[in-house]
Amino acid sequence: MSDGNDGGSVLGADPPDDGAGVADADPAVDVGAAADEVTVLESGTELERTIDLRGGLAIGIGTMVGAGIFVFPGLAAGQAGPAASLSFALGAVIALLVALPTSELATAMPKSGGAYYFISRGMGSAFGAVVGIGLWLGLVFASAFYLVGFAQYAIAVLAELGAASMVTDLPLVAALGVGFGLVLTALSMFGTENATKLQNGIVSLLLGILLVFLVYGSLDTLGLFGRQTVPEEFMPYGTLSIFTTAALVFTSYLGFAQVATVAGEITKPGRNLPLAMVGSVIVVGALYVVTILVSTGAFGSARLAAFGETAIVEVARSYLGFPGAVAILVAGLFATVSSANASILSSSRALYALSRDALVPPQLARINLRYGTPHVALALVGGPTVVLVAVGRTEVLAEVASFLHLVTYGLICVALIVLRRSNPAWYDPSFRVPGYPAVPVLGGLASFSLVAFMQPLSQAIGAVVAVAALVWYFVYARDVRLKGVSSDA
Amino acid sequence: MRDPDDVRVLVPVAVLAGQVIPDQLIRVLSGTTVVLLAYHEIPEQTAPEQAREQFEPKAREELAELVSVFEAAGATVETRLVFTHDTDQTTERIATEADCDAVLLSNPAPTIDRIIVPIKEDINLETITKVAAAVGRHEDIELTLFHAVEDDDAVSDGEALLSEVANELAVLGVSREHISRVVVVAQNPLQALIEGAKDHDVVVMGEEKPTLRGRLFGETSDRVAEQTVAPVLVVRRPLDPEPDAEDADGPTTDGPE
Repeated sequence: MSDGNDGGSVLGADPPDDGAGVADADPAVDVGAAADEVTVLESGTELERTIDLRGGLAIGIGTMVGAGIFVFPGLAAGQAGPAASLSFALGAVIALLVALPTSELATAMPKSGGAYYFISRGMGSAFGAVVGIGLWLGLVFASAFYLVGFAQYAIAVLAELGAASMVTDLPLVAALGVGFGLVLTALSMFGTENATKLQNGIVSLLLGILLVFLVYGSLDTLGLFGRQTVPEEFMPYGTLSIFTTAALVFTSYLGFAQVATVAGEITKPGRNLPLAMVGSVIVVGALYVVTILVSTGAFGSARLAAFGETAIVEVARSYLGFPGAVAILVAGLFATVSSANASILSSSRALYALSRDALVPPQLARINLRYGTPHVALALVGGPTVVLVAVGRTEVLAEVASFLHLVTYGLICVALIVLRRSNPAWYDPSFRVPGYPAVPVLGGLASFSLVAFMQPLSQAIGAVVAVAALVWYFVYARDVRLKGVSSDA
Repeated sequence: MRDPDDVRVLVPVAVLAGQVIPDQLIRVLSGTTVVLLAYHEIPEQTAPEQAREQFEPKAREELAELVSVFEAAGATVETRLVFTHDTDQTTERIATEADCDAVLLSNPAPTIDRIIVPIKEDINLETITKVAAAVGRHEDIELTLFHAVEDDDAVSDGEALLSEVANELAVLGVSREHISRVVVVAQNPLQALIEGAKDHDVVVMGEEKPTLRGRLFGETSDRVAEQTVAPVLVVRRPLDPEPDAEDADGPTTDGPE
């Protein structure tokens, strides 16, 4: 039987084979042998793996696609002009540089909690606490950001229906975002319907709509249908704007690592985890770059920026008329909801992983007896999310989310290097990063340096969250020792 | 290697949902090896390991109780405890890994006197006969072999088929007085079976190849279980050799480790 852990070593030294079974090899609190379709714990209890490659890709793409296409084109074009496509490409490269190390770590530790789990095992519980809490709140900021995007689309739909007088009413954005945030939280707490199939369907539908729109738009931009593109300088705002815009739009790539938060539930983790993470980054990266080129080709970046968050709707209208606008509006509603929903669920997984290691109180991971859902954790995600929706600005929400994730991503790369160097006996990934050590070193450097290009306000909020997490660790959990963490790491 | 005469039956139990396996059913299964699959299905918002931490002790306790009931009735018992998002996937996987001949779809069964065994020539006859013999060997149980044909011309062929099966059952130790044979002429074989099963307490039937109709309206065995409200023993069909290229999402044909 092909086991998820028996893949060949591509690079680096083989870990010493001490003959220990896979069950002893993992440093987890709940050790278990990961096979293709099930994790078998020492007690003999089995945990079924139920998310296949398609499901993994749907989580990755579904989380990411909401932002890059449906919220950012207008904002990004306003900051960098057509060169915003380079910002998106740069973001994709950085995301790939991180996705590869994340894949290696995830195949070595296919457990719930994703990044938190790798970093706490690779670098100790203090870093773990910062990352775990950062991941939780980072996803809270991201969810809030997606919900604001959702509200913008809902308002655009209202405008399309003729209720245009309400469009400039700003509190409406907050009200719709908060309302829907509460609905999503309640659904995740009390809903027992299987939403996976729905999510897969939504992502397929989204990709279909986008493909039609982008292929037609690209051909039209190239002049095939006789369109005159708006002539414009490629880099109207200078080279630096490419980097600051990349820092802003990096939120569009927060999602590949969410696949790792459900690593414990993915079938054939050794194969499906890397494919889902790398594959989803490549798919959305390509979509983003083309979207920006098509959008700026249609309007020029100044007008695009004036359209704001729903700029893409006007782009679709200009290429495909009213039906195009409607299709993109519908797609935008679905995409932002699917992103928000996926982020809320991942965030609660992060809280669970923290509480499993006693870094936060165990009550947080309690499961509701009636609904079988982790209601406390979900409330701790949904609550702060709606507060942020009510007070936050799109750009700041996006950047703080990016900040917290980028810190995590940088540490993932560091954790990979630490683990490769200390090479503990249990570390036996079935996927190994090609181009080690260049890939993780570049990934780490890029992640940390992107933070430097953000607005000062976002940097301040992000830093406060990180410091608060550290304070929490020293006050609440400083005695926590994680089994299997090497002291010399 | 397993004993070829041993009959292995997978009995899935929603262990924390208070699902009860009727005593009568336990008695009928006493001559088999029972693979007791205790499962707990959780919504996707919850990590299986999270549910495991909270519910494992309780689940183990309930499972141990069930085991002692089955063992008291004389069955050989193996157990599995699984936390899952998808019960069907888990049942399929365990049935394959544990090499089970049949899967029980449980329903209430106050008494069990008569068991109906629908026979189709193209469905896995040998294993059905083996499973039917294992549950029909009890002194007080009557077996009805059932065959539906489309027109009168086919009746004699049907009778020949059933008498062949009856002979085989007799060889396996079921007494001939307890075996009756019914061949009916019907346009809708499934409806005829559901009618025929009305005065029976348990159905032993072969699993059919997955079809589009099955996907849309539920597998035949599920529909029989639903409409007759009787327990159904679904005899699994031999696994098709599965093309490797497609194995990403389908159940694997790999055996247990």
